[in-house]
Amino acid sequence: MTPLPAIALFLLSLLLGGCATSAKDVPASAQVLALADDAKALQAFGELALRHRDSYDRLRPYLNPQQDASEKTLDRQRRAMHADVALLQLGLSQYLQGLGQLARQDRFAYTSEINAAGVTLRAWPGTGLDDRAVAAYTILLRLLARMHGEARQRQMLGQLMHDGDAALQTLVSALNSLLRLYDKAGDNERDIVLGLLETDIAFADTPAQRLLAVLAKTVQQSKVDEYRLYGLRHTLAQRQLAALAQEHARLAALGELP
Amino acid sequence: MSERREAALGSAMQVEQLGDSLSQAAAALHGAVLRAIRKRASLGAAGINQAQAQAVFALEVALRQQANALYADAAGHIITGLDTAQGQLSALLDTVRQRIAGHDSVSHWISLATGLLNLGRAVLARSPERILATLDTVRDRLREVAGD
Repeated sequence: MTPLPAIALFLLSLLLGGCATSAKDVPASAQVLALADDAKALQAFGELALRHRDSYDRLRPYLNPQQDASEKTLDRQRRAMHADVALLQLGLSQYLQGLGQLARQDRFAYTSEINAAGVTLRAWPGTGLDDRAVAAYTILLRLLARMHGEARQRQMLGQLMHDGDAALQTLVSALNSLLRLYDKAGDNERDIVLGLLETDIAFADTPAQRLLAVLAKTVQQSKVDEYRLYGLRHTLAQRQLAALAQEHARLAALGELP
Repeated sequence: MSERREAALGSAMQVEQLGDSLSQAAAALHGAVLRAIRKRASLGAAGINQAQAQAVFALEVALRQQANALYADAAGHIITGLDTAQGQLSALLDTVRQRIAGHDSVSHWISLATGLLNLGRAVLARSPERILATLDTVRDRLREVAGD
């Protein structure tokens, strides 16, 4: 079966939904729904943050004992910080989801994870996740509390987005600073892995090492591809986050949303 | 205050810049080793051997790990009131990088790269005295390399 009937049904439901409210209501809500869908920018960020956290697992086979010891220290640091980064990302996702629910006139309940852990977010100065970001996160949590349990409150949207815009801008810029650092650290990880392969393959040139060299070149090619792909993902995620922040600012500036 | 005359390593951004300089020095080392490996065919026994290549590569990895440690906690490695300007520090590190790229001697690369590593260690240890001492050593080594 083609997916067409499902799409037709969906369009029909949009049309019928539109009939229930005034014609002017539809575009703004649709735009908020589209913004809520931009949570995929946060998903992309989340994947890159996880990849950064797990850098040691990928590096380990390529390190000598001394290098391994240094990397373990960094690994502990990355893991400790990631807990706060993940909370920040969850808070932002919940906020966008909340806006979407309100636009759909649905009830919104934020996860208990946020409720319990929200106050314990730690600042990591110099990384983007600094005191300003922690303060903005507190504002975001207050907005989540305002959304909590609300239904049929589409009129709240304009005010919420207006009140939340400064915090959202701060938090998205924090995520972008983090991405910049992840990208730089990722480049160094790439150059350690590819550098070792490159240097050792060059010396694996005796007949006895032929099979080894062939296998190493296969690993090398797949690593080159992997790192190139993640380089592109970084660029894409940064663009998506910037677009999300811009669209939020635009909608927030419209004032009263229907 | 202009960027060039600001005390070095006085902000997280400047510490991050040191991380960038160390990463770039590592890249220069890698380029130099690959260049030497390519020349090996024509040089024969006089060319770089695997142990030398691995020794230089180990320095490269150490520089990259130091850079990543600085990226991970730039604010934690701010040094206040360092008696050298950020501009001077950047210029010195640029010179080291160019010198590595411009020389074909493994011992020169190792001498310059260990100089940088000691600087990185002093910054990671947050010791202004050691930073100034290691900067002097790096300057001395640059002169030795130029004198050859």
